[in-house]
Amino acid sequence: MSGVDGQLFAPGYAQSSLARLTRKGDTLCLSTTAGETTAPIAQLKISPALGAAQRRVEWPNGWVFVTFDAKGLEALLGRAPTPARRLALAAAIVIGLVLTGLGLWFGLPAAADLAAALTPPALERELGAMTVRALEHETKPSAATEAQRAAALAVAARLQGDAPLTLVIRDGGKIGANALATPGGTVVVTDQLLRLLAGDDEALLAVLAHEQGHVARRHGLRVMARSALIALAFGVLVGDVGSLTAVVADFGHQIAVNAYTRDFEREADAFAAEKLHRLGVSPLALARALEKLAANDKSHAEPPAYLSSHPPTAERVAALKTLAEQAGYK
Amino acid sequence: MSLSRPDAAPAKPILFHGSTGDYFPIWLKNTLLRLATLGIYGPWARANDRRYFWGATSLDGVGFERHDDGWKIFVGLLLSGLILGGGVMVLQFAVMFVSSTVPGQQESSALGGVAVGVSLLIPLFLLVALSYMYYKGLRYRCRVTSWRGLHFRFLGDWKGTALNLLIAPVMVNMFSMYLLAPLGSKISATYLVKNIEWAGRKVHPGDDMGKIWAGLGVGLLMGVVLVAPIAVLVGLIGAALGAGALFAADSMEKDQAFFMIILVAYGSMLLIFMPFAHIFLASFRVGVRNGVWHRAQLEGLAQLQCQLSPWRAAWIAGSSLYATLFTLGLARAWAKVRMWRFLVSGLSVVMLGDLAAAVASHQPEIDAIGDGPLDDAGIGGL
Repeated sequence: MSGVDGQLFAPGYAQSSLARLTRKGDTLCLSTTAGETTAPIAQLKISPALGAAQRRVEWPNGWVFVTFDAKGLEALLGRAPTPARRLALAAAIVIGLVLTGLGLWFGLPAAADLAAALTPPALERELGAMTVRALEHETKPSAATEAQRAAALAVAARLQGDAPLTLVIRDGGKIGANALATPGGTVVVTDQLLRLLAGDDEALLAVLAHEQGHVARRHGLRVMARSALIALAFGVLVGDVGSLTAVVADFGHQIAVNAYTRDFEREADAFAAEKLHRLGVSPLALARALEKLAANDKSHAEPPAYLSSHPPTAERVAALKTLAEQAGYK
Repeated sequence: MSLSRPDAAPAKPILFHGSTGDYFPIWLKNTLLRLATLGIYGPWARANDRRYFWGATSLDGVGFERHDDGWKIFVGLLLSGLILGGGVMVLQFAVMFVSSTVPGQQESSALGGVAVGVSLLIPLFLLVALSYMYYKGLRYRCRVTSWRGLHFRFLGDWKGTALNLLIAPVMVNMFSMYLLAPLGSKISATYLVKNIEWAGRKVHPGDDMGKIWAGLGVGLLMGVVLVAPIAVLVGLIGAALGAGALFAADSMEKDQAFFMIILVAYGSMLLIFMPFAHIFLASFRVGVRNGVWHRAQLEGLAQLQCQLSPWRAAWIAGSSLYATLFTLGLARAWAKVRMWRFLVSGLSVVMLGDLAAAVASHQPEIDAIGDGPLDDAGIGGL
């Protein structure tokens, strides 16, 4: 008769006695030098198998039998691994890997977008207001003349509808010629941008339409949600490793977030092209603005594509030219 | 060599029965489920890990047992997050509110005083909340651990925890500019050890400051030696980029090269410092263990011997880190098993009395609040 050797403890006592566990039908039998006792398997609390860890069988009266013979116990309980179980385990691992991959690739952005969609507009406006305050900290009061300001506001007025658009003009300082959309609809443009695009109202219109695209598609909020979820996923991946891997994870996080923002830039470009077309303006106006901005920014090289939050200018211009051709502009 | 009686009896080693092959499926399941649930499975993974490592560790033929429950850890993490995060947020809003009611740029002295007062509350709140969490976490860790059916117990209170785990080390470090950091660590570790109880008996900690200093010295030395390859590699990449920038044909390429140099310079600060800290801490913590656990006595019942090599600790931490990085995390299971086996390998116990006299002194009760903060602080472990 096969059996499992181990030790038996009375509740609350550290002293143990040697014991042997055997099986008779649906009951287990525990024998020590002092005698034996039996109990139906269904009434025993048996700890789950966990590699080489000690197993524990608790009897209805509180006595505990422990053994390191985990394999013997499994065999006694009739749970020894069969080829079918091994196959099922391997299949579970493969399915788990595939599902995890799919979940990260498709599920993560979807979950983030859902979270963004559920965010109340009031909170989004508050987030936007915080961003604007931070931007005001980074920039200086505008030095634009009243005429320049009025002209810019008139251009912005042509875009009303689709999504809110509140124009704020600032002296860009370090950020130079730039336009930034914040959640809730406030768009900050810099004096430097107005100067760069002076005399080409359609280019300014195109830039503002692009920013309006960010607002309409709630890109700010969605980037925040996706960034938070990616950070969570990377945190889980490297888990309790800490230190160096945290740096690697941080780098990976930035690359993943950049991939999302590049998608959002393309989406905003498409939104602007469509909107410009409805206003009777060629999408090429945006291409002109992008090229002027790139030429103006020659001092800073474009970083490698995967490190950049925006797609390369050449790619965006090419895409806009295609859209313009499709819409019938020359 | 001491001639005291305990050393005459043969020491029983503490043994680890696990292996990488044995642990790998457990680790894989934990990692996949954590990923698939975006970390929500974490508490259950943690419970599995602990049940495995402790359960596969034995003294005198009987394994240690952990009775962690994923749900309890989950609730504990949630509560400690809410209390710590929520408390700090509420106080920060209070500060913002009070400061924003100060009219204009003119500082009203009364309101300004209130703002300063409220902002001083944040560290005070953190001190009280954290020490309470640490205290609860230690109670939890002890109570869910048992050997021979008897659960361990933590006898300290939250004030003692605040004084010994937070206030004393911070004060010592501040006033000695970290020169006496080993002293602070010893105060904390001694407090932990002397408040552990098993079978109604207290632990009397060992007291060997020299071993802690040894851990510190070895940690510093091995940290520098083992991080040197990274430093050289980073230096070479930097130099190559610099040369590339100097000889680049057009200005565009030049700009790109300079951009990469800045990136490498920033990254290297972290790439060099963080592994250094990891390796240093492995040695130092082993020094602290040796200092307070070696010759620690469980009243009349057993004497513990803890003789771990800080050199090996640094080597294991460093080489595991490289292996984990080069395998993109796959070697993590191996690294964990390796470190645990090492920590257990230095431990042995001389029995001084009869186990027949060891009976339970209390009924264990369990809630897991504070378990997470302990992990974050790197307290506890074996």
